[in-house]
Amino acid sequence: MAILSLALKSLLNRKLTFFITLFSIAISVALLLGVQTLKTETNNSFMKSISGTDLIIGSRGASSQLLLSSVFHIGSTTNTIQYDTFKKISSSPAVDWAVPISLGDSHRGYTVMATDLSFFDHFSFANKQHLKVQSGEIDGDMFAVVIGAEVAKKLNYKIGDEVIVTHGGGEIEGHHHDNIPFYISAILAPSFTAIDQTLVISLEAMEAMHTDNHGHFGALPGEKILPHEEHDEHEHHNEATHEEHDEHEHHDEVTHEDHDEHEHHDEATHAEHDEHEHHDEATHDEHDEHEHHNEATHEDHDKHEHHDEATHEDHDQHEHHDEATHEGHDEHEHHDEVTHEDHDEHEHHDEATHADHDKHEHHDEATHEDHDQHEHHDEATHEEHDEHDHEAHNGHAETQDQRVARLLKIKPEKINAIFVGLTSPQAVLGMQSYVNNYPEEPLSAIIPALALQELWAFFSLAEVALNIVTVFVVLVGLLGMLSIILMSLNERRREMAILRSVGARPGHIFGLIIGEAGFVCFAGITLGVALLYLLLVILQSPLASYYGFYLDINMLTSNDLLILAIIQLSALLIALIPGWLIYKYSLSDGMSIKF
Amino acid sequence: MINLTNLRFAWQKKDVINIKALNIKKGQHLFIEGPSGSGKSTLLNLLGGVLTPQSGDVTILGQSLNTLSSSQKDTFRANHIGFIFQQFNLIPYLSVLDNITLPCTFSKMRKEKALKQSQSLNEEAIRLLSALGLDDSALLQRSVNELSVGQQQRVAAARAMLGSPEIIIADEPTSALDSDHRQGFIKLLFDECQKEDITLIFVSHDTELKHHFTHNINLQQINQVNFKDSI
Repeated sequence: MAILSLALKSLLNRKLTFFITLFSIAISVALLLGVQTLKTETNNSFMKSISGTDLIIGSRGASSQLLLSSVFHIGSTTNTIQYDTFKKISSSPAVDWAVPISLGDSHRGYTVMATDLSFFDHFSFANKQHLKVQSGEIDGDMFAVVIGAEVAKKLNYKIGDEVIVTHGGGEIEGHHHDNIPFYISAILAPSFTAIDQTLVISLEAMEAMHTDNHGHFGALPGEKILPHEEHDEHEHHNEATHEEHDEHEHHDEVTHEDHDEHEHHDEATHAEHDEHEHHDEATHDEHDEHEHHNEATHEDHDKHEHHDEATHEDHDQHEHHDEATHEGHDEHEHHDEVTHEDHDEHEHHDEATHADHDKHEHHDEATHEDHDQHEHHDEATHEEHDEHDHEAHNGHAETQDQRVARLLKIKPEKINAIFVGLTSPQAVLGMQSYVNNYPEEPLSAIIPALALQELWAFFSLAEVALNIVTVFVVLVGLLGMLSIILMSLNERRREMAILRSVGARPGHIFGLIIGEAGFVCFAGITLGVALLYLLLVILQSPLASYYGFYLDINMLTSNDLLILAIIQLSALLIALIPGWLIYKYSLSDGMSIKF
Repeated sequence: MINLTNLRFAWQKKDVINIKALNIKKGQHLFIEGPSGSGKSTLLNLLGGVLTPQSGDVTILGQSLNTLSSSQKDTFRANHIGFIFQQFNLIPYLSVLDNITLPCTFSKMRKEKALKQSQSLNEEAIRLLSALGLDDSALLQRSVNELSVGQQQRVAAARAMLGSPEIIIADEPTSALDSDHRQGFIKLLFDECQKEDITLIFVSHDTELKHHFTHNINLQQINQVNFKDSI
């Protein structure tokens, strides 16, 4: 003990070299343990990515690819499976639950995953924890999106915000499905899995965006195009109607918008008006009555207004006109039967026009003060708007395409993966082989736990490399200590001679050096461990918030303690070199102070 | 009490020490005159049992060092011999008191003897220091490196005397001192050795100091090594 206290006092006498050695060992120890901790924690969070799911089914291919795409949302998912397959598999008696997963779209670099509501009931991670909602509420609405904690944090989203989904991955590439915006209904609590970086939408909405027309449904039969839609599309639509259904157009108040625009043209620009008139003339030949009607509305607004100023005769005339239109309409219907394929649609359309027309008439009669058709149109818009609001959720105005998509009751056709929970764990292998030999399409089923382990084994090379590097870092730290002790030996030979003269044995001198190295190393390890925990505490929250990596701070594992013991032992072994040297010196020098 | 008989020691196959016989009596103050290179340090190491002779024997206090193991020799040295060296005698990282009580770390016997004199080791150290003319208590707080060379040598003397060893071997203890301090130091050393009945072996090349001593020998005369051949 006396020798150890001497060693300690001797060390403290050489503070600078002592602290340099101390810190070099401490840093290397912190690094080594840090790497171990990161390795363990990465492995943990990796293995915690999914739990409670017995099988993941996807299109036939490499199991790691299926795992990466379905659980980690890494890599492209081009292979799909039929939705019918999902239905069949979920109805299998061995299957407790099955959740369909569809991927492939993104939002500002974050994965968009389509699934159904059962995902939130069955998907679990870590120790069978389910996803928790942080704010908002998961509703089953087609255009609701549930976003992961990190998505919300990074993009600063809140409940009710609108989100546009991009086709494909990446931040810039791909088509923006901007005609179908989603609204955020819920934000999930952090799970530290890939879900944190994911936006969850409904399968139906995903399918709607990926129809042949990219979700540009246009007008539905019997539907009116919403007036608040974008101008471009509106015009486009009008043109289309012009081309295909001239008669309808000029048949006039078929659509309020058309009518309104025509009127508007009349008043505003003559050039365009001419064009319209020309158009009208084109239809003259075929439908006199239509022409007549067109004249009634187009010819002179004044006349109309005049009529509005309430003369009974005019009013009668108007009614008469109405009848005329009816007749013409019938005739037109007949015409449709002959020439147009989409007869039903037109017919339907015509009926709608009837209704509106009547309404229009009625309105004209009711409000005599102002018969500006523009205003009338506005009112019509209001009506429709109200109706629309009623449909929309959370006060979000829906686009035409969304509304149509809703009405079409789109069903998903293709998905990317199915998460399956089985009724009994014994059924896993049987189910796996059944899926792998599924007759209707090539599928493969993977067991998540096994696939995770296989995938992790893939990283073992990097793990070994990292270990080697850190071992060398520690070795360098210890060699630094060795060189510092060796350098101190010469100046300490005097000290050794004095100690010998007062009765110290060469063994004492040897012990002095070993004790010094042992103490430096022990202090270094202690400081290193303290440094590690300090770093972990400092890094914990930024790692979690910026990288979605949750670092669990634990006690040192037995493995860590073993490593530390090995380091301490190595220090003592390395100190044998200067220890042996000083032993030799003390024998040859004796009590003589040689310099 | 110290007998050397046919003592031969060679370093790297060259004779350094070859002494037929040397007898030192108890209480003697012996001056050994030897210029550097005369095998002075080797002789002291042989006396201290740090070096083992190739032949012959050293008997101290009736104990033949040849019969002791090297660790027993270390303990024997710690128990019975105090050393004072030329300069830088002190361990730089220990306090003045710690330096003085250092022999007690390795010798139980000297520790017990010291505690017979005073209540504690530190008290005994302070007593010895004041006997050697260092009674300034502020001195004790200072680092040994801040002491003057004369003070350092007195601290070293106090260490050598602590626990009353039978023998004190001083190797050029005054060579770093100026002549005034040299006289004073030798006087103090003599007085204390007298008081404690300590045998003093004083080794120096400085023949001027010879007259202080009752006995003196010339190492070159008793050492039969032909230095002209060996050097």
